Parts: sequence; C-alpha cells; structure tokens
Amino acid sequence: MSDTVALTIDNVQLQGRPGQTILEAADEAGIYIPRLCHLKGLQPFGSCRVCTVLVNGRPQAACTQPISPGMVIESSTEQVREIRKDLIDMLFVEGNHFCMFCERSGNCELQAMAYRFGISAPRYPFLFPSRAVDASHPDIMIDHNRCIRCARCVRASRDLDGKEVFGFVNRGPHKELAVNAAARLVDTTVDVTDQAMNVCPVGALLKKRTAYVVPIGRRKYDHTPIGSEIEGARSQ
Amino acid sequence: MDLALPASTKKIVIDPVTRVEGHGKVTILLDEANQVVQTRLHIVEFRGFERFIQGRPFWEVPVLVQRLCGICPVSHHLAAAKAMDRIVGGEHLTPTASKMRRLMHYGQIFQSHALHFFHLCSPDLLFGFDADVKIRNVIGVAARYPELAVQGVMMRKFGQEIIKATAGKKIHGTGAIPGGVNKNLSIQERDGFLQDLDQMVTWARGAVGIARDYTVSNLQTLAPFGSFESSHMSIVRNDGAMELYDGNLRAIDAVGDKIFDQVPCQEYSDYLAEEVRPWSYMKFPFIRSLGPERGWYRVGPLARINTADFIDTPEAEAARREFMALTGGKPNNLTMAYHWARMIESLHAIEKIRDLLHDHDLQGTDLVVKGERREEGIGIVEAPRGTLIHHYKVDDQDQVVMANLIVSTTHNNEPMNRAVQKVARDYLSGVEITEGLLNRVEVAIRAYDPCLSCATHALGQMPLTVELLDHAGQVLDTKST
Amino acid sequence: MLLTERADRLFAGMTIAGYAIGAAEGILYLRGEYAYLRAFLEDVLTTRYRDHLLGAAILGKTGFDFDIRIQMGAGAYVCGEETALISSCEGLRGDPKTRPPFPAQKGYLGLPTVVNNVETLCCVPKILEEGPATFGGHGSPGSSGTKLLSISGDCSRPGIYEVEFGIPLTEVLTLAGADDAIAVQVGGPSGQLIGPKDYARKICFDDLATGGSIMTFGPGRDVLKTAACFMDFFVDESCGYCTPCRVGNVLLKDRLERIRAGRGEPGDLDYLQRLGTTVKTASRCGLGQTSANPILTSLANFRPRYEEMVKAHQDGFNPSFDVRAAVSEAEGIAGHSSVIYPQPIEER
Repeated sequence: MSDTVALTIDNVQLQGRPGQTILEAADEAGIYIPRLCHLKGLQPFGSCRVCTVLVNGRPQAACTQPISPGMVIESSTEQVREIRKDLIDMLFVEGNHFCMFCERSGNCELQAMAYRFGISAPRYPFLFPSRAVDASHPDIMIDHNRCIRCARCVRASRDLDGKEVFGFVNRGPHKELAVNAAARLVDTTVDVTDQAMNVCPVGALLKKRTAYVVPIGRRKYDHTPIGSEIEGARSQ
Repeated sequence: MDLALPASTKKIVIDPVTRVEGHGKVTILLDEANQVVQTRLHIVEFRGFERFIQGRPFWEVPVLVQRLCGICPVSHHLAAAKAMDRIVGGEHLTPTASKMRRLMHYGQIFQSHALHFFHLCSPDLLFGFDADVKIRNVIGVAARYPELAVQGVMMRKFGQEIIKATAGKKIHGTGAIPGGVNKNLSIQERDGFLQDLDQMVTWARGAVGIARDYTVSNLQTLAPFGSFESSHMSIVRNDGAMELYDGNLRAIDAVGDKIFDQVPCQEYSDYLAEEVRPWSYMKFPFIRSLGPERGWYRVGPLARINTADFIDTPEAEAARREFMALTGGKPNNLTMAYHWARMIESLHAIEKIRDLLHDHDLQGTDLVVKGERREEGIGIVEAPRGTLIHHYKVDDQDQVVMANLIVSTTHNNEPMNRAVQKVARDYLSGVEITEGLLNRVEVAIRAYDPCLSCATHALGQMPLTVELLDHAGQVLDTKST
Repeated sequence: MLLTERADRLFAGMTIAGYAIGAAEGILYLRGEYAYLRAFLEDVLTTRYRDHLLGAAILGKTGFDFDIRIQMGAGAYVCGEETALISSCEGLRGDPKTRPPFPAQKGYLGLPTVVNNVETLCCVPKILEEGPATFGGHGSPGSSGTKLLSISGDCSRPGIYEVEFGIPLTEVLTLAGADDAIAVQVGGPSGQLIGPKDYARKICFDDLATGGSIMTFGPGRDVLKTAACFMDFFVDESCGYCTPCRVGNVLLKDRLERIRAGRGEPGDLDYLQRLGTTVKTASRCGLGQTSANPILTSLANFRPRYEEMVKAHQDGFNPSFDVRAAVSEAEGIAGHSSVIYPQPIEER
C-alpha cells in the first residue's frame, strides 16, 4: 500500500495519507473546507453537511468521506457554495439566532460562517420555534434556541469526558438536545470543567457569567474570517 | 421609491408602522361649538421588551435591552448594567469601570444632543415653523448653513467615537457588564480624542449661544408655545449638583419647591407609580403623593436644569446661571427652552469628557467587582431625553423573571399630550387641520423627543398622523405629515 | 403478504444467503406495526429449527450453522434505510450511519452484513429450484423476474399484483381499474408523481423504479394536496440528523402550503426547485435524498397547476403575509386590539 494518496481539490493537486478523510487531507494542505459539526479531536459526525463537496461529481460530506487515489474534488465552485449557503441559511432559520445580543457573537462559528459566505440575511423564512432554556445548573446553561444539533457536546462528553451527559431525543424538526437525567442539567454529572463545555460552535451550551468579558475587537472572528487559521498554514 | 403600477392599482395605506420608534398619531376632539375639548397623542407601537426578556439570563440584559433604541442605546445599556451590578453585588465599581462607563455616557449625551439639536430641530429654528418642508430639513440646513451642519456631524461623530472606544461599537456595543466593564481606554485611543477636544468644546460653547440667542430673541412667540406649568424630576448628586449617571431622585413643583429629594434609586417605586390608559400603549407615570391627576411631571434637559442646584463644570454652570436668570431663578416651564437646556448639557458633557480623558484611572486594569448576589436590581440614569428607570428581578437560576422599564418618553407622556393640546387650542381654526397646525404639533413633540420624529427631517416625512373629530366622534379631517 | 403467505420461503432464502456469505446469524427486522405477525413467524422458525433447517449443522452439514431471530422495531420509515435499520437492531436511535464503511464492510455490531428486502430473499429459493434461466426468462433486460405491486388509491380493483418487470404503466392501471387516473405516484412517497403523458413508460429499474407501491389519483384530486401530504410524511419521518432533511423539508412544506392557501407568488416555483435540489443533493441518506421528490416531480409533471396558483395579481400585490395573524399575539399581551390594524385589511 502506498503511503500517499494523490487527489485534487479545486484543481490543486495534493498528497493525502491513507485513512484520512477529505477534510483532513485538505486541512493539511491548507485548503479550508467550511464545516460546523466537525471538530478536530472528535469523531466525524456528518450532520451539518456544510462540508459537502462534489467527489467526481457526486455530493459527499468531506468530514466523513475517506480519500482514495485520483479523487477529483470540487469545493469552492459556485454550485457547492450555493448549497452551503442554503445549509447555513437553514441552520439560522431553524432556531432563534439573535446575533445582536447573543453572548457568543464574534466567537460563534455559525455567525462567522455566515460572514464568510456574505450572508447578511437568510433567504428562507424564519421558523421562530418555541424553545426552552435550561439554566438549572449553577455554572452551565443550555439555550436550546441556538442549538444546531451538531452533537459536538454529545461526542465530547461521551468520548473525552467519559460521561454521556448529552444525547438527542425526538426526530425530524423536533429532534433536540437532551440531557442524561429526568429533566434538568443540574441532575446530570456535567461539570463546568468538562471538555464538552468547550466545543459548542454556537451560543447553546454556555458557561454562566462569562458573557461579553472579551470586548468587541478582541473576539475570535473580529478581524479574520473563520477558516483563516487553516488557509494561513498554506501560505506559510 | 416610486413604483409604476397599473392604473387599476388600489393603494393600501399602511400607517407608518415600520418605524416603530417613530410612530405617532394625534386625535383632536371638538365640542359642539367646535372648541378643542381633548387631544391625545397615541403611541401605538408595542415593543414587548419587558415580556420577552423574561427567562433570559441576567448578563444578557444590558446588551439585549439597548436594542430598544438606535439613538440612545447607551442609556439602556448603562441603566440595565447598573441594575445588574446590584444583582451580582457589584454596585461599587472600580474607579476604572466607573469612569469608563461615565465616559461612555457623556459621549452618548454629547452625540445624542448634537443629533437632536443640529439634525432634527435646527431646521425648525433656522427656517421657522411654517417654512416649506422641502427646505425645512437637514439637507436644507446643510445648503444654507454648511458650517453649522458640519459642526453637528462632527460633534455627533466625536460622541460616537467615544462610545466605540468604551463600548466596542458606535451602536449597540457590549462595554458594560455586570459589576464593571470589559475594557479600559488605551493611551492611543485617549490621545486621538484629545486632539479634537478643544474644537468640540468650542463648538459646544457656540451651540449654547445659538440656542440662547434664538430663545431670547423669539421669546414673545416661544414663551406661550406649547407651554404650561409642571413639576420636574431628575436624579441629582448628593450635594444637589447636576448628575447624569448615578445619583438620587429629586422632584420639584412648578415654582421650585421640592416634592421629594435624595430618594435612593432602589426606592423609586415608593414615590412613582404608573397608570394605564386604554388608548395608548404607553403608560402614564405619576408621583404617588400627588396622585394620577396632578402627579405628572417633566423629565429631560429642561427638568434637569431646573432641579439641579448647580453644575459642577465651570462653563456649563455659567450657562445655567444665565438660563435661570431668564425666569428669575425659578423653574423654567417653557417647552421651547428644552433646546437651550439641551445645549447647556452638551457643553457640560464635553467638559466632563475633557476631565475624564485626563484621568489615568481610565488606563487601569481592574475592571470587574462582584459581591453578594441579589434577586432584584434597579438602575437609573439620566438619558439624553430624561430619567430612565430599569427594574429587574432575577431568580436563583440567573433568569430574569420580571422587568419594568420606564423610559424618558414615558415620563414625558403627559407633558407631550399637554403640549399638543396647548398647540391645538392656540392654532386650530375651524374644523380643518392646516399645514401650520400640523407643523406646530411636530415642533412641540420634537422639543421633548426626537424619537417621535427621528425620520422627519432626515427623510422629509414625519410618521405622524393628526385626526380631527367632532363631538360625535366623526372624523372631520385627517392629515399626515 | 410474503410474510403471511410465504414466510417459510423467506427464511429459506435467508438461510441460503447465510450459507453463501458464511454468516451465522440472520435477523428479520419487523416494524412495530407488524407486531401481530410475530407469534406466527416465531412458529415458522420453531418448525424450521425442529426440521434441522436452522441451528447447528443444518441438514447434517457440519459447519453450516445458521440462526434467525426477529428484531422488533418501533415503527419508523427511516429504519427501512439499511444503516438506520442496523442502528435500530443494535439498540441505538434509528439514525442512518455514516458511509463508508458500508454494511458489507462494517455493519451490525461492526461485522460485515448484507441487508436485503423480503421480496429479494424470497426469490432466492425459486431461482435455485427452477434455475436462473427460468427466472431470467421473466421480466425485461436489466430487470429480470417478476415484481409484486401494491396498488391503492382511486381504482376499482386495488390489491397486490404480481407482474413481469417491464410492464407498461397503462396495463397496470387497466388491471387495477384506474384508467381515468389523472396522476399516479410510483414508488411510494419517495418516488415520483407522474401524469398521463408518462403512462406508456415501463415498470422496471431503468425506467419507472418502484419498491412496489403504486398509488392512483382519479379526477377531482389535487396534485398539490397529494404532494403536501407526502411532504407532511417526510417532515414527520425524517430522523433529524442532517440539516437539509431536517429543515429543508419543513421549508418546502411551508411554502407549498402557502401556495395552496392562495398566498403564493410567481417566484415560489424557483424557490421550491432550488430548495428541493439542495435537500436532494446535500442530504445524508436515501430518505433525505428523495424526500423532495413529491414537490420536484409534481413541479416537473404538473407545472401548470402550480402556475395557476402563483399567478401575479393584477394590481401587483401578492399578499404572502397575514398581518392580523402576526399582531394577534402582541394584542393578547397588550390586552387590547391593534390601533393600526383594528380589523382585517379590506379584502381585495
């Protein structure tokens, strides 16, 4: 078995390693494929579909699709960009994402993704669902209004913290994050030092009383768009 | 925008609801002899902040509620932050936090007063109430008095930059957090402001002169215009000085006798109550000891100049003395004197900004304090247009369970109604709404509050409708600006 | 029908498949709706164990060990998707799994697994008994054998029919007594809604593919309503795992309902086409990849009906917004009616 796999992404030729996903190979090559549910260090999940690429013309999620020799991948073509914009729009309208007062504003990956794609308002109508806030825990809060069902906290709690505090219940549009307790977060074994507390891409799983401590201008995405850290690796 | 529509088009007239902040409707009711018996300023927008904030975590409130307004968001931001200081037991701010917030607040007063005076009101004052609306707007001012227009823009910009340096953004920032602030002022930021400071003081001084000269030289006309005797309320400092950010409540009657004084903000509800009337979404606050009939009062620049014993900055104090001399030291009850009072405050604000910029506490790094957690917090500031009260209750899960906001426009609800009534009585002739009447209703409201007229001059159309009703309630005439 | 009439043949087919791939265990996944069949099927299995057609050393052949158990499901359309079915068998949420690995690489409990439907497995004993030539003698090129069709809807003779692959749809409609059908849904909710101009097409993998479901719609039926019902179904049956299927189907359905309510506008057709294409392209499993079909195929085959509903109004105003409904909640909170919209806006 060869120790490299040759493929092209947007006409850039690159060598990946066997067993890598498209997204991993692209990251190493300094090519940013947008993603929301994926986080390095967690099992690939493939739910947001924002990393959708065309592999030899067929749509695939880059975060779960392993590379194979000769793959021809389209990632930043107009067609793929439009699909991603649709998906980002859907995530916005599905929940209640009020960036203007959300404490994750400026550090939110969903918001940063919208900015990266030049989305100022979604093209789909807001669904304005009625969703709850679970503030029962003294140090942690879940604002279900902003959950994008990415399962990062589910995976981190299960695989990194060994706790399985989070999971999903119900299906379709009613699918929602739930906690491993009769009803409330306070009744679980979650702790504010859990790794699961550091992975939420949006303002859904929050550490209490830490909001707005970082002033505007010093937040994660105030000056460089999301993905710059990966694209920066390429230019070096 | 003009859309070419087919001839068969039926136009659906929608009241100017889109500008929620600026929608007003006035009804004038006549008796059988066609004399004005009643006028009402209906505030028809419904905001719902007090309701939808319930359940939100308390630390979100200062950032959330400032969305009430695009002109004076800092006031809401700070009033809510002060309330939340109480919740986290952090009301004794560090010097850096306290001074950063004050700087933000004075920047806000400065920019808002500049907007109010130069952009929104100066067309009325410079061109006269009856001038053609095509000229009587900010563009007209820019054409005829370009220097003045530039001053207005630059003063507003200076204030906005102060806000940006303290809150992170010019509009709807995040600077104040429960128990403190999230940044200090860098030397670089400070030095940038110091460069423009003298110019700002000069212009602010000049603006006091314009407002004073206008008022004094047109006193015959202005004295009765929409005027009436009233009580006045504001916060003042412990020593009776004018105070805009943090003080105790004082109310005086029309001749200057104190109704209450040095009332701690946390006790406001022992002294003030609110009445609901079915024809307006806006409540009518009143002083409890006087009752709903007589207990109404005015807030804002005029009230603040009237209630304060003195101003603690020299130039503004000199201007205040000149202002009070007009009424022999007694409270000034002229509606149109609001503009003069406003410019005195503007001068005070820039003097305060000057003092603060020279204070090294602004470069401190001790930004946040916390203490014993409370379940209730009240924050009161003097917003550009008057006293602003934010009152919250927070449960043990950190969620807001009750919110009561009394904004300046609400305090001034009855006074604005009175002003409109006075104008209607003085200027209505016959059973027709003339342009002159319509303009004067606008001018009277604008003396108090550009929030009901913010779109007026800028876009050439005021979102105000006046309706004239006969004794049987039949509409005789209706006119929109 | 195969389970009630030919259960024995199914289990024989599974056993042969097990032998072919060297598997030791087979699972029959039975949806919750068919729980009533369970006792009967268990009896059939017991008989087969007794007759040494299951268990260790089947028919005395050393090393040919094969067990079959029945796994009950809770009743979810998505569990017909093979990886969701495996998840459900494993006791997990009935969510589809990430592919690759495919079930034949890593399936049930991480072991290589083949998943086939009942009809396919029932064909196996017949092919072995009668020989592949006989089987191949039925059907059309590329689609050998026969097909069971479950025909329902507006027809005088609904029922289950066995037909040869390659049969034109017109003949199927005649069989079932649905010659006046204005529309036919071929292949269930995820299939296609076609009109009379396509009735000459053939039932086979290369043309009109179907798992067996044919629904006929007679004169007087509204294809928009048909599409809306199927969208309801998909909104309900989506597992909610991926964004396009979870959100996109709701958006599709909402817009279709708006059109049906007479509040559509001409641009809505492009909106549906675009949104449907994204759902089809970006969804994670077969359910989402086909869930937009009710709209996409009805839009392709019955476009005039849509156009009729989204015509531009003569006066240039197409009201897509009900202001009274929008202010009603605020009125409730305020305790009195809106000053600006005290009563409905004048009807046009």
